[in-house]
Amino acid sequence: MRERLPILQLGCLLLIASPLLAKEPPPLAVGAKAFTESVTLAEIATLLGKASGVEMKPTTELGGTRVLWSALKSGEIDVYPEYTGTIREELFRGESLSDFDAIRKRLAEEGISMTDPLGFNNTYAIGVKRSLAEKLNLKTISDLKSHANLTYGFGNEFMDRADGWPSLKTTYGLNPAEIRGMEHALAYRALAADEIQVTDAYSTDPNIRQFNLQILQDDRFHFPRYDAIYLYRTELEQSHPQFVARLKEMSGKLSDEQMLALNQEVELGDKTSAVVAAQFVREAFRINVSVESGGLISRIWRTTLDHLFLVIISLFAAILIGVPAGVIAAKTKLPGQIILGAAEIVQTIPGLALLVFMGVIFIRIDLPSIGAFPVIVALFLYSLLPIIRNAMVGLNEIPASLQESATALGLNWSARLRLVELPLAAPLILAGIKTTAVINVGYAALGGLIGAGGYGQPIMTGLRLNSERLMLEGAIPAAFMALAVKLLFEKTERFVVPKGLRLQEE
Amino acid sequence: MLKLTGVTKSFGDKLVLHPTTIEFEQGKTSVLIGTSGCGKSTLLRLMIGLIAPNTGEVEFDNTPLSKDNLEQVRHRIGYMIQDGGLFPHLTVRRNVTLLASHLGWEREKVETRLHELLELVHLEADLLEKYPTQISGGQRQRVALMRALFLDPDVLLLDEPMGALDPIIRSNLQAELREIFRSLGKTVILVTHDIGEAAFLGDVIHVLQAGRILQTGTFTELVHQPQDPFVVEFINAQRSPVEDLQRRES
Ligand SMILES: Nc1ncnc2c1ncn2[C@@H]1O[C@H](COP(=O)(O)OP(=O)(O)OP(=O)(O)O)[C@@H](O)[C@H]1O
Ligand SMILES: [Mg+2]
Repeated sequence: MRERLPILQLGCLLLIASPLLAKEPPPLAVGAKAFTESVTLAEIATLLGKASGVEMKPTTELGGTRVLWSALKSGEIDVYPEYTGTIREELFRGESLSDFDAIRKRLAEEGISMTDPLGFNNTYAIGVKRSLAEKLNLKTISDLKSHANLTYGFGNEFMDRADGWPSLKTTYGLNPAEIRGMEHALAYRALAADEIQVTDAYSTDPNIRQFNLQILQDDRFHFPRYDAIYLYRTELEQSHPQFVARLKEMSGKLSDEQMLALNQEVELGDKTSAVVAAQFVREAFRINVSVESGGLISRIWRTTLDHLFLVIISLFAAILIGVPAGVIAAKTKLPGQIILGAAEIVQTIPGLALLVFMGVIFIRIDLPSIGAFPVIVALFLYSLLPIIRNAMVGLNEIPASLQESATALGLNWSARLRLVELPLAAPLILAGIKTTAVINVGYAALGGLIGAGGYGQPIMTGLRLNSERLMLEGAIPAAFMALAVKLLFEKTERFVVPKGLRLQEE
Repeated sequence: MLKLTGVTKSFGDKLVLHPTTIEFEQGKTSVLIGTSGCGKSTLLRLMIGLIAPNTGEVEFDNTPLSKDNLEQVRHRIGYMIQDGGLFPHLTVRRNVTLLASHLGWEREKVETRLHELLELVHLEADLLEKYPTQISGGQRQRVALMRALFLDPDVLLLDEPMGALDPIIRSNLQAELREIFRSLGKTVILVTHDIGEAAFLGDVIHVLQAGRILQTGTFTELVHQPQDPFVVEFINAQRSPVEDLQRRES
C-alpha cells in the first residue's frame, strides 16, 4: 500500500493541472462535424489560418451541431463550417429567420459572424436503392406513401431535427411500418444489407454514387436550402483580420459538383480530408500549403499517448476518490448506501448522453466542454462504481475473527484500516481497479466524439469514411492496450497484494 | 482485577447471558467451562469490550469500561481468540510485534521482547519470517499466545487456546502454559471444553450452562460438593479410555 502513494500524488497533481494545461494561451481552433464534407471544409479553414500566419490547433471533430455551436459561443473553437438551413431550422428554430440578413443580425447578437455562401447547397435528400426504386416505380417522396411496409433508417441527427423526420412525416403524411435511428455512416450499410430500404442523405454525399442510390424528388419542397458558410467569432475581425479576409474569399468557390468531387476523393479515394483540403487551397488560392499526414507509426503513437492520457488520469482520480468512498460505504449505513446508489445511477447513463449532459453544464460553469477534460470526467464517473463496490466488498468480507483480533489488540480505527483491513482487502480492491482500467481503455474511445483524440478518432473517421483500415487503426491498438493494462495489473499484484495472501491462494 | 456486576447480554431477543456477577482475582487462573454455545466466548468479549452488555457493568482494575479508556484497557489485556486470529497478510514477526511498533516501541526493545517470548513458548527464531499459513496449528497457537503476551499485559483472556491440537502437543502445551502462568503471576481467564484441562490449569473453575454460572470452585469442590446434577454430568462425561478398559476387564 505504502509504495503506491507517490504515484497517487502524481496522479493528483496531473488531475489538478489538466484543466489548466487545457487553458494555455490559445491558438485558434476550427471545429468540424463528424462527416467528411464538414471536416474537409474545416481543414480548408485551418490551412487558410496557417497561410495567414495564425497559429492553428489541429482541426477538432465534434459530435453534433449543438456541441459545435456551444463550443463556438464559449470560445473553445473559433470557426466552423455550417449550413444556413441548420442555422434556421436547428439553432434558431421557431424564430423564422427569412433571409441572410436576418440570420446575420441574429448571429451578431451572439457575437458570431457568417461568411457569404461558399457556393453549394447541401440539402437533405431521401434515397432508396436504385433497384428498389425501379421495382416499385418510386420517383418522388410522395410515392413512398403507398408503400407502408418499407423500413426507414435515418441518421440520429435527421431523426431529431425540426426540418428532419418529425416534419417530413407531416408534410408527406408518411407512416412507415418501422423506423430506426442510427449513426448515419451505418445507415448506408444497413441499406446495402437490405435491413432498411429508405434513408436520408446529403445531396453532395458521394455515397449516393457508391451505394447506387436513387434520390427521391422533394416534390413538396420540404427541405430548406442548406448553403454552406463559415461561422466565426466576430472578435476575429479585430484580432485576426487577415484570416477572416481569407475565409470571406471562400464565398462562391465551391459548386455542388466541386464539393461532391472533394468528398469523393476523401471517401472513395485514399486521401485524408487534410490532403484534399491542401490540394484545393493550392489550386483555388494559389498559396503553397502542405500538410504533414505523418506515417502510420507516428499516428498510432500520437493516438496512443492521447488515449493513455485519458485512461490514466481518470483512473488515478477514480482510485483517489473511489477507495475512500468504498471504505465509507463499508463502514457506514446511510452515507454508504447514498454513495453506492449515486455511483450506480451514473453507471446507467449511456456514454454519449453523459458527455452531452456534462457539456451543457460545463459551458455554464466555464469548464471545457470539448476535448480531453469532459472525457476524463466521464471515465472517472464510470470508474467509480467498480472501485467503490470492490473496496466495499473487500472490507466486508474480512472474517469477523480477524476484525475482532485487530480491535482487541487495542488498535484505533485508522491503524486497523491501514495495517489490517486495507491489506486484507487489497486483492479485491486491485481487481476492481483492474476491471475498471480495462473497461476504460474501451470507453475512452468516446473521446473520438468530442475531439479528445485517442483511438476513438481513427475509429470515428473510419466509420465515417467507411474505411475498415482506419477503424482497425483504432481498434487493434485499443485491444492491445487493454491486454497490456491487464498484464500490467497482474504484475502489480506482486507489489500491492501482501505476500501472505498470495501464499494463501496457492 | 476484572469484575462483572449484574451483566446480561442478548442478541436480538435471545438472552445469551443471564444476570451474572463474577470477579476474577489478581494472579489466579480462572477457567470457564461449559457446553458449546453456553456463552463462554460472549463473556470474554464483554470483558474486552468487543460487545457491550445490555445491563450491568464491566470493571477493569476498579474502573468501568467506557469508550474513552477502551484502547488503554485493551493494551493491558492479552486476548487470544478461539482460532488464534493471526493476520494472514503478515509474517509471524509482524503479527506479534504489530501493536508494539504501532505504539512506537524502539526496535531493540521489540527484538529483546520477541526473543524472550520465543523462548517462553518454545519456538525457533526461523519461524519469524514465515506466514501463518506456512506453520503448523500448534505453532500458530503459540504465536497467537506470543502476540497476546507481547505488551506484558496484566490479564490474559484465552479462548480455547488448545483447540484442534493433537493430544501430545496439547498435553505439552498445557504443561508449558501452567509454567508460564505460574512464573508470570498473571491473571488468566481461560475457556475450555475439557474438564481435564480445567482441572490441570485452573485455580478456580466456573461451570456455565445456557448463559448462567452454575457453580464456582476448585476441581476438588466440584467433584465432592457438586451443586447441580449438570456439574456431575459434565465431569463424568469426559471419557478416560484407560479407566474404561479397566472397568471392562474387572
Ligand atoms: N453475534 C452474535 N449474534 C447472535 N447470536 C450470537 C452472537 N454471538 C454469539 N451468539 C449466540 O450466543 C450464544 C453463546 O455464544 P458463545 O460464542 O458465547 O458460546 P461459547 O460458549 O463460546 O461456545 P463454543 O464453546 O462453541 O465456542 C450461542 O447460542 C450463540 O449462537
Ligand atoms: Mg466460544
